Amino acid sequence: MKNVLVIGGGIAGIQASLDLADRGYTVYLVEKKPSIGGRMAQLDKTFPTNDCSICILAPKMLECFDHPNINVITNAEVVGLEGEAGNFVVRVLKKPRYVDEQKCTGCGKCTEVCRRKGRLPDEFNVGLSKRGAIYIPFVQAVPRKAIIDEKACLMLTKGKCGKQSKCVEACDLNAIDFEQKPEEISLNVAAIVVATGFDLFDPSGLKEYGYGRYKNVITAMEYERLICAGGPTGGHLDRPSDGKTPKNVVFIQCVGLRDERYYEYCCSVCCLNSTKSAILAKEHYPDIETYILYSEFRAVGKRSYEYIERGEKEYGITYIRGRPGEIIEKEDGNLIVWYEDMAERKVKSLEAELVVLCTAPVPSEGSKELARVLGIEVDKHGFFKCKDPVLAPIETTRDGIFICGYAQGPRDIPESVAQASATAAKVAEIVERLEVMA
Amino acid sequence: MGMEMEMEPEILAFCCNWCSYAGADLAGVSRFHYPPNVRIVRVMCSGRVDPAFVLKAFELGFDGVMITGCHIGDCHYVSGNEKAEKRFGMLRELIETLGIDPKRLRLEWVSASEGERFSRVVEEFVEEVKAIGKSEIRVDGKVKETASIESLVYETEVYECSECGKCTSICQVSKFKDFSPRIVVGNAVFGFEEDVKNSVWDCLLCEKCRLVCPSNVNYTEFVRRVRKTVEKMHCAHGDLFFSSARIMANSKTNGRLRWFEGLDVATKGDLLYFTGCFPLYRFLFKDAGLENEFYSIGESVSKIPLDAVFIMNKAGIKPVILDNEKCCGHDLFVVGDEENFEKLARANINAIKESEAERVVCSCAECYRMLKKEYSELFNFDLEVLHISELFKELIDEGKLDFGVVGLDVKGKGKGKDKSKNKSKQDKTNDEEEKTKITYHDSCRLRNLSIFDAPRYVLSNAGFEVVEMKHSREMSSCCAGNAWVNCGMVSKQIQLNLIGEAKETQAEFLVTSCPKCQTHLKCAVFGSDVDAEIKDFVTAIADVLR
Repeated sequence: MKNVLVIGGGIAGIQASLDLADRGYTVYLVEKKPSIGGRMAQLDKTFPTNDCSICILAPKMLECFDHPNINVITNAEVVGLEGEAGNFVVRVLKKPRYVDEQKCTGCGKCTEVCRRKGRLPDEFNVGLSKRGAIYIPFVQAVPRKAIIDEKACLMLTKGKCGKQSKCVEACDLNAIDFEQKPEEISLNVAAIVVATGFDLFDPSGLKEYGYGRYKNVITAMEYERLICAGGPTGGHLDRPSDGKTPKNVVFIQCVGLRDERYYEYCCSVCCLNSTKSAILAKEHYPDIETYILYSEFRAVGKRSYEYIERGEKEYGITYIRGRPGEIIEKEDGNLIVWYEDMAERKVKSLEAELVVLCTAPVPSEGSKELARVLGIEVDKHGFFKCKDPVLAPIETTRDGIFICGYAQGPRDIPESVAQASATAAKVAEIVERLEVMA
Repeated sequence: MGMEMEMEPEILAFCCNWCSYAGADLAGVSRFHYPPNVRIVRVMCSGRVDPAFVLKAFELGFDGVMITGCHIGDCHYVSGNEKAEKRFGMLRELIETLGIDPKRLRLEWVSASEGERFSRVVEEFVEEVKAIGKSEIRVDGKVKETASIESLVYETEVYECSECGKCTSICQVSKFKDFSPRIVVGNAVFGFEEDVKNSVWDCLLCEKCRLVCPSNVNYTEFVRRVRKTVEKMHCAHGDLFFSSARIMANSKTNGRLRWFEGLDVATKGDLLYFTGCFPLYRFLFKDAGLENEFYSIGESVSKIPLDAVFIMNKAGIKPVILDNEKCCGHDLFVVGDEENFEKLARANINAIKESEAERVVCSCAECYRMLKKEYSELFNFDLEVLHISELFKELIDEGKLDFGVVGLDVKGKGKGKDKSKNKSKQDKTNDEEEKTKITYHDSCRLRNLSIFDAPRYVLSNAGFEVVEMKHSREMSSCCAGNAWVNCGMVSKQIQLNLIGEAKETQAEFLVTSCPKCQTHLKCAVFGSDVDAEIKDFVTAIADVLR
């Protein structure tokens, strides 16, 4: 049997699926969200090359979706597992989209007319824009099909949406189907790849930074959407309080990370990610001042430290060692950031017009539950445990189940892609060995 | 021998330079006999005798203290002896509360020509003290050094510091002075012990740095323990508050029930109210004829327990009061005097156990912290401890505490809506206008135990509109006077900043739940040209009910 299940449709899951499918395996790619693409799809640019993130990802997403050997199952979760390596039986719960995927062309007419249009936070833009109850996750979504939010749709929550649901009226293809029910699919696979990626830590618990209280304190992901040409502001860095372009931006590193109160590990990306974000600000607005308040540089790997040097010398980013202890909001929405300049051993403050918190990427919310279903283990933070951290980093504690990407441990995109390919090779090798033995 | 040795009391006499000391001298040169039990300390005027001196004498084991000065009208500084007389009255009251027989303190006027009178007065006093007997109090004032700074670094694990500077930038002191929690720790790690010892008294012990530290460095515990190793303690008010606490730790106190005359209190029951020492403050502030605004601080803080019992009575509760309650020991604990702290804690715990109470409620933020955290962690005190705001919240929810404020939302949002429906529009607008705007200051000790919502809930139910200062809840400021240690220009700055923030909110007055915050903030207000009103949480509620 040459069937493999891949859980998670981010860049790691996509890469693993493509590698396995190219080798002739039949891949089932199960994604929890309505579209594949994962976190990388939300990024504006990637470091250290400053490539447009979605531009390099979208072709891969389509390739994956259109690959004859890959079955992409979106809006679905793994709920059960039986059997053993070489012969697993997986139960997958496919949640209803309430839109017929075969009929829908992704024209978007339905999203224009929804009675709840513009009232619900858009997950893809981390709440910076609003969507309706029926929506297409994002422009480059794969599959580009509409989906109905069952918690918000008037028809699904109240059983009534005016005289006639407007989306039903608008859809020329009769794709909308309020009768859809959750569906359980049973899959027979030889091996499983877990690539569930990360979620973002909510920094409102760190009262010293006032996230949630102060409008102009945003997270790195929010910044990413603001600076993205495809984002809600069309790439204009409009600060939330008054829509003004900030004269300066302060990036605060390690929020919730390297912090024993929350997560002790180093996310391994925010030194470079903030540099990238600051470079983007400089590219959009040459006069803007950017400050990065860091704990210490952890820019390991190819071209990483050079990237930071380039940020400093070529773009004039100010790097200050010192984690700020307090932020206070002024009447005009500007923020006073108090920090200790560790080079001078002096307490200083600076008036920031926008503060960006580089929040911790943390193992996905559902990873503990998924570990229970799959019978594998997680560490105290929720990262999946490896069989051996040194010699078997991509194998889990159960035979036939493999891990790659951020779900295994902190890493950046190139490393996740490399690890996904490694996992695919490992899966192929083991499945083939099992076949020979059988 | 067979004969019992007669008790020989030790007496300390403060003699003024101009009359009594000359009187004593005259007694000497005139060969008048008087008992050798007396040790004389010459002061310029009887008005110079600070209450702290008297307490210190008792603390050191003197059996009697005598203050002598010129006859009324003869004072060389016009009215020094009048002040001494006023102070004498309040000191007698104070030492009685601390468990010392008031007869051990005596005031006498002896002029320069009254050598014979001096010897007679001393003789009389010695006889009187002999009749009372030897004082049981003898506090070893010096805190024993137990550990080196190096070993404290290991014990408290402050070496975990990753030098990120968060503590320095949140520290309120660092904004006015060259001070940093991180550098204190750094100096300790690198062995610069003198620097560490010099800076530990600058710390406010507000614990804000500990709350934001990413490495969980228990900086405050480290500082507290280093303070223990430093011989010379810094503190304002001449050690008076510490002396009182140390005396209480070593004496048999009683008389707290007397404070509550006219109110309903019990000696046995389910709910115990731990009063705190505020009524002592009245005596302590009633100093040297200072019948000015500073004196009013003592009056208003000492009212708090009475107001608390008044409110409990209104809600149908008859709280247990310990007649022999002692200081909770907070101040001794934060300066590292663990020995006397333990004595106080154990005495209080035993007294509470004897009262058969099941729950203890505190209105003082520091008492609450000690009972809730330190008593339970260090001495296994296992009763439920409530802050008074939590009790009031409970009483409001049970409908036992009714403020009778019309149109008020008592149990959640729904009910208020229904009520307002029945009323005319005119009534509604009146209600809105009547609401008094106040701001609530979270004291350090409540902040660090996350008591945020209960006081605000109670205040808004009592008809106040609570507006927030810039620094509130988890980020609240410190009143910069923890344990009477830090009084100085830096703390005045911090206090005035806090008052300034309160003024910015346009609130009519500032409410706080810590009597020390009230004391220090009022002191800052009276000493400046700012005008602001500060009230205790309990008093604010009681005023609504009256």
